[in-house]
This record gives sequence, C-alpha cells and structure tokens, in this order.
Amino acid sequence: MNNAQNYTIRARNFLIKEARKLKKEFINAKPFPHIGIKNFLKGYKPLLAAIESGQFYRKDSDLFSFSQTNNLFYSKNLIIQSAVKLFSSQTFSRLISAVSGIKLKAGALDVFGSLYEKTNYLLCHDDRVEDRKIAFILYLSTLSKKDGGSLALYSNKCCHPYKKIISYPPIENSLFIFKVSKVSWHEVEEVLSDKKRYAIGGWLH
Amino acid sequence: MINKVYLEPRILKKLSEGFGDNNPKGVQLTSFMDKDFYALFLRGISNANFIKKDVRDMHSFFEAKNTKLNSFSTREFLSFCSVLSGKKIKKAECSLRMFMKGCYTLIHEETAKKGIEFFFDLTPKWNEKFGGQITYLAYDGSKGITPQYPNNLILAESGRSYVKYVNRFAGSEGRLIVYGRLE
Repeated sequence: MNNAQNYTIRARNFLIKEARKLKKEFINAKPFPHIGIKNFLKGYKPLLAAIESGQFYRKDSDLFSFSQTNNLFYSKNLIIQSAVKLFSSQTFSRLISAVSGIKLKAGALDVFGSLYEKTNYLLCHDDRVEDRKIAFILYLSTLSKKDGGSLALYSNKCCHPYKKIISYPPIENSLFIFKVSKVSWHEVEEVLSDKKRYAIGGWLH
Repeated sequence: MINKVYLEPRILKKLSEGFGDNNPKGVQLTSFMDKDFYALFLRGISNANFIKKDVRDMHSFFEAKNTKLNSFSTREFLSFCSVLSGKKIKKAECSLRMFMKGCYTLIHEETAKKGIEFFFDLTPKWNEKFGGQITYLAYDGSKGITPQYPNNLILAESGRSYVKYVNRFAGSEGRLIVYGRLE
C-alpha cells in the first residue's frame, strides 16, 4: 500500500523575484488583471488521474453546459484531498496575494473539478458572487485553439462585455488566476474536438 | 390568420385553463397559423436582412431590420392572446430573430419585465443536437424544453425562458423565430 506521503501535491518553488515579475504582469494585464502560471505543480499527472476517475455531474442551464464534481473539500480521494489542502494553505493564499496584491483569507475557498467535452461551454459572465476576490483554474489538459475550450476575456463597456481581447487555450499544469470584479467578463469557448478539458477551479475570498 | 381549430369556444376555454395550470404559465400551439396564411407570412419575410445583436451577458443573435410583423399586432391576435392568458393585451413588440451557431439568450430575472411573451417558430428543419431549444424554467427549478415545429406558437409568462446556445453541429443552419412581448 502506498504511503500517504506519496499523495502529497505540492506547488513548485517560487522565488521572490519571480513573484514580483508575476505581480507586474498580473496588474498590467488587459482587459482586467490576470495571469497564467505555467508548470504550477511538481507533478500533476496523479491529480489528473484522480480527477478523471472521479464522479462528474451534468450542469446545464442558459449560461453553461459542462460536467462538474461535487465540492472537492468532501472528496475521499487522498490525492484530491492533498490538492485541496494545497489550495487551502497559507502558502497558496500568500503566493496569490503576492502576485495579485489582494489580501486573501487562507482556507476560504470553494473548489470543484470540471470537465468540458465536445459542444460544452460557459457563456460570458463576471463571476461576481458573494465576496469572491480571485478566481483560479488549474488546467489538467492541453487543448489547441482549434480544439476550442479556450478561456476568452472581454473588455467592458457600459457594464456589459464588449470585445474579446484575448483567449487562452488550456495548458496542462498551468494555473490561471484573475481578479473578480464587475469588469471580469470571461467565457469558456465551446469545445470543438473530442478532447476532454479537465480542470480544477475555485475562488479565493 | 389563426388556425380555425383554435378559435372554437370549447377549445379556447380548454387552452385558457391549460395556460394557467402550467408552470410557468403558458401554452404551445402547433399549426398555429392557417396553412395558406403561414405560406404568405413566410413569403413576406423571405427577404429579411439581419444584423447581429450582441450583448454577451444577455444575448447574441441576428435580428431582422425593417421587417413588418403586422400579423402579431392585429386585433385578432391580441384578443386571442388576451383570452388565453387572462390578461388585457393592447400591443405587441416583436422581432424576427435568427439563431446561428454561437447564438443564445440568457435569463435576466432582474431586468425581465413581468408580462406575456411569445415565440413563433419558423424553422423548417432542426436537429435537437444543434442546441437552440426554447427552454422554460419552472418555479421549482426544473426545465421544460419545448419541442420544435415550424408554425408553432408558444405563449407564456415572460422572464422564464431562454434559447439554448446553438453549437457547432448546426453548421450553417439557423433557427428562425419571431419573438414578441405583449403588453
């Protein structure tokens, strides 16, 4: 039987110099503060396998069509528990605070696994619910532009999304964060290929 | 204009009762227009020019400009809708909408005016896997997807409906609908 130590999911080390550089990029990003951090975890494959084998539930409304896990806080899978522990840790909230310049509470987050398959999407919205401050997505799959499933960011005009400014195809083991505000208009573009887009996402308060 | 079957007092009474019993309140009437009138109506809108209406947190679709939809402002239609809904309806604001791939509408409860709305479906051929279904959200949170037929009228209380995102399977096909608000 594996030792519990083998299930530990850790973020790679971040030097102060790198965090400063990331903060500059985050603050200056258009259309609103955001950044993608590549190679975020030290080995993400066990986490992908754990998420892939988990239970997903269809979520379907006017705004979205995709599959989602229950809140991963309640997962019994040790690898997922370890990932949740990382996202709830002071280390994680301090890192995100350092990059975003936003004061965050450690442990105060919701975290879910998501799966987007062919024709799945999440239409444009701003993510503002309660006191969410930062949204984060850890991608566990890589999709190219032609596969769809990119995260598209929109500019704001008169309190509505206006123009698509940039879109980011998911890259496995990259952490994408953005500041939640009344202008954080974003969408997950429709998945066009048979590739599966796995991610873990949530919000820091 | 209206299929004579729906104008029979016995049928009208049944439909009116059905309207109030549904959640949300509403009815769906297949073969709504008289066959010959429907053919004429289709001819009247065949040269419509569409422009994109894109407010992405609310809707994205194509709307016909300068298309006359007078049929939905006639006394016959407004009286019929008044009887069915039990509300006094004086006017209709309608638009002809085309839902191509990437198009949708969202429910905006905070901005939706309370009242009566209708969808009149003109799409001759549509596959459910394309998306684009007219969907109603009941007060218990459940969803009702209305079956798609050409010449089909859905009359219901407003603020509870959306047109599901049309996905890439639709290719170059479009879903053509008259949407109207009744006051």
